[in-house]
Amino acid sequence: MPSRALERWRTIRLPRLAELEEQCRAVLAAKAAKRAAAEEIARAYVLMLSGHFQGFCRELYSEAADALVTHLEKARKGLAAVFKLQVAAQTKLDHGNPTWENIRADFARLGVDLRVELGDGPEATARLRTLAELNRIRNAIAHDDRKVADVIDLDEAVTWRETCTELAGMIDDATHRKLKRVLRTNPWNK
Amino acid sequence: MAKKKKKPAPPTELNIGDIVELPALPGFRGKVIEYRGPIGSGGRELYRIRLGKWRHAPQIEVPANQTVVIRTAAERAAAKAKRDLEAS
Repeated sequence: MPSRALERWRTIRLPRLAELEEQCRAVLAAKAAKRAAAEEIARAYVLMLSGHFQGFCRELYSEAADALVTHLEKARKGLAAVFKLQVAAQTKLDHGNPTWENIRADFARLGVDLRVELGDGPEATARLRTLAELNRIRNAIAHDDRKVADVIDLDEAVTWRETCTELAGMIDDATHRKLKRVLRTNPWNK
Repeated sequence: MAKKKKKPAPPTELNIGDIVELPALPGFRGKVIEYRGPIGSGGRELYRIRLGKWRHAPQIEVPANQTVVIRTAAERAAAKAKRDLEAS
């Protein structure tokens, strides 16, 4: 059963990205005069993709933390409140990019070891390389570093989106399994 | 016999800028800084509260019904407008 965060990734975030992608393709298919506009939309697409992936990770983290908190609330409200303070304190994803290091560090605070969950096979390495590339290009666009990100290849950006979706599913699954073991019930109580 | 003062009902929703207290954390008072959406356990709506005036003050995510509103954002804005008017 997916978390709300993953449901929102699938039903809200991905359709929004698809809409932007469609617009970009429509402009690209138009006359060459509009090429500059298409490139700008592609740059916006990369920023939005990174933002939505960061949003998904933050939401999943909050959802997982709240699942733990509701169980504590049943026993000791004050203790639950202190726990809440701790899990919300200085999370990397509140201010930093959704790099693998930031994602791993935040979820490790809930006892979810994403390094173990992802494994170290060639597929995992490729996913992490793609995420690193997305973040590198995202920063270059955000800081207008034309040396690094001058022309964005929309097709490549779409493969980044697919990788984000795979990672989202994996992180969701790992968090679900860990919380289910701890709580002995489905953490995504709907 | 004196009538018992009825406790105010907990709010069902908050606005950005509201000042709230958290009964579970006595002594703490904070400002609502973000609506996180219905992402809590069982779909409950969570709000991010900053517990202090400085930028890196501790933060907490809670549903509205675990807070007590001390001052709404609208009241604060009205008070500020009044102060500004008096000062000018």
